[in-house]
Amino acid sequence: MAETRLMTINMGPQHPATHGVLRLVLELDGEVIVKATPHIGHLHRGVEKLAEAKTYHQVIPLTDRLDYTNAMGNNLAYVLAVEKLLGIEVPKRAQYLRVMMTELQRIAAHLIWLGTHALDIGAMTLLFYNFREREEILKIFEEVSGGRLTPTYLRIGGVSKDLPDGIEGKIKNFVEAFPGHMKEYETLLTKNVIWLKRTKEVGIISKEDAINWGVTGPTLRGSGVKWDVRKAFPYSGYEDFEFDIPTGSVGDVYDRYYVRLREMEWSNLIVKQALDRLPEGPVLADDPKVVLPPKEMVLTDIASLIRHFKIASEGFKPPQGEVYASVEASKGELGFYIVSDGSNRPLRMRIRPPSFLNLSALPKMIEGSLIADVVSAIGSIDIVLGEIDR
Amino acid sequence: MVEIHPAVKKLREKDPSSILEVTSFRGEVNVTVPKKDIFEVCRFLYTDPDLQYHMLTDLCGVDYFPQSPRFEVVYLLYSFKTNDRLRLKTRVELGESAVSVESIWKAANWLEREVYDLFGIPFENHPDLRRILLWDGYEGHPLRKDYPVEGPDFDKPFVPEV
Amino acid sequence: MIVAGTLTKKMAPMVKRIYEQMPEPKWVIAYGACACSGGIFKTYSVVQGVDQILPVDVYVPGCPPRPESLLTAILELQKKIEKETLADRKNVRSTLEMKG
Repeated sequence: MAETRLMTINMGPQHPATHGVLRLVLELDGEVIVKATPHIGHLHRGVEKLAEAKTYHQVIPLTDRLDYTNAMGNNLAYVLAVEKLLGIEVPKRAQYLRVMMTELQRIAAHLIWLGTHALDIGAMTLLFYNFREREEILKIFEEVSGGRLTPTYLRIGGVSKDLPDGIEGKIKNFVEAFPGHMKEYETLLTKNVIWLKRTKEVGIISKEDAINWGVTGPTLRGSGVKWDVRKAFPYSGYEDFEFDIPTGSVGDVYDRYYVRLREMEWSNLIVKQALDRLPEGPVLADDPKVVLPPKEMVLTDIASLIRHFKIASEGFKPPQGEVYASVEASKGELGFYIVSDGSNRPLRMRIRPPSFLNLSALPKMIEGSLIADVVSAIGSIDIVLGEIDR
Repeated sequence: MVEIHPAVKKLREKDPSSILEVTSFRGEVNVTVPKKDIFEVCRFLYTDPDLQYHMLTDLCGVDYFPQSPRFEVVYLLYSFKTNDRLRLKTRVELGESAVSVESIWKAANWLEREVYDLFGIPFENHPDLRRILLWDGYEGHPLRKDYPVEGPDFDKPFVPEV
Repeated sequence: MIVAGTLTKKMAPMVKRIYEQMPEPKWVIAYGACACSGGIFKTYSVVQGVDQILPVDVYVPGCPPRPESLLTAILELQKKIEKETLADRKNVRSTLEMKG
């Protein structure tokens, strides 16, 4: 009688469907997965250690490069944590600008997710449509801050500079054209038989398991838990905006797809509300120890010059203590835990990565299913290796 | 204000010796617990019907180098029922090991592996303690304060073993 | 082969293996500041530039580089290939064997 052994397959770090350098070691019994082990760390750059050697202002560009599809959101999480540590108030106009940029970034991040997820499963047209929309958003970011993918737009105490002229018209055009594009995506996928067959009842994770594994974001909401950091612990003026939180019911790939589509629509509405209600006022807080003075003053007034020099070279010294601040990034709850010992560098900057915990729940989702479902499941939890490995 | 936090009140009623110190900074409550009691405190906070801290949001380590005990393991818990966050901290000395809470929250599985990898704090009763972000065979624990940012062999050329 | 993004010491053996698996003729583009020289990450786990382990033909700076930079890089590579002779190809081969 021949003995059967399990086959071990390595979905190596270099693979077109793993969304980055993720290595999955799968043990198969025929086509059914018996055990799955993710191996991460191929993009570990030591950001947390590097942040201990920099002043608080110098860490902001580092945070851009964590989850590179959601750069404004990462900036916002870090800046909120430092502002909480210092105890400074951000003016209303800056808060609304932050909300507008973060929600535009969320739409951009979900567009990448939709394009690559559909591409993995086989629907190639969506990729081109989504990147066409994303190009509009990146043009807006470039006009506002100078960078397409890594804008570094936010500063401690507000936003780096005000909106340029003419940009409001462009954002308005985008917001009005977007529902038409959403209709295009829905006609292609939502009732498509092939899509339904490949995404329904695949990669299921139950409500209790999702909470126990620390899963957050659309992956948690797809399993039926109506929880969003923007509603639970509102930050940066979100309590002034009206929006709803979409949830799924079963916790499979289709539910997560549905949740993210509805989230894109709600983000579009939030941007519209922010644009309509944008108040006038300063965009930076009025704290001389933390905020750089305006450039015209620096070039003419000696006191401003000295202040600019001190803030840019030494930084500021926050009080001793520790804070945790989190935002709802496009992947889940992104949090920064900063411990300060009173000097101008953080003692410890810990990043709570949403994709790290979402990925740790992946073996639970795919064990027992077929190997073709692995690609759907990985695409649906929407991981970015830059955030997992930091 | 810290005395009326419900979790702190219940913990004090259950076992006053399990709380070393309670502080509050910017609206967050931090409870320091001795190392031998951390598992019981976590299980109590998880199972108590009024508190129900069902989600482990974060688990990390901090290195306070010249102080002793040197390391601190920080747990951040969240309760859906009361919409409340609580931070638990315990101190661990160099060479000691901490207790794993993986049997209570599965999220601790990878988080504790990361603390072991970057700080060198082993966890008892962990089902699969090995390095997660750095490769097997790496020597040293990078996030400790006495480890240089560039790494110990920055000036030597890098040769990968294929 | 376009090496885009940061190269870490954990990933370096795999990248070298992929390069050796490529059939001749082959060229390498180092895309982005991290691939050119390590970028802003001067840490314990980042290789300071892909050229520490592979021979690079075109460097594309930027963090991240604009799409037009990538198109320019491919055009530069085409110009470089036009000027190459067979003797140059033999050069690349022997350097690789010397590195071991």
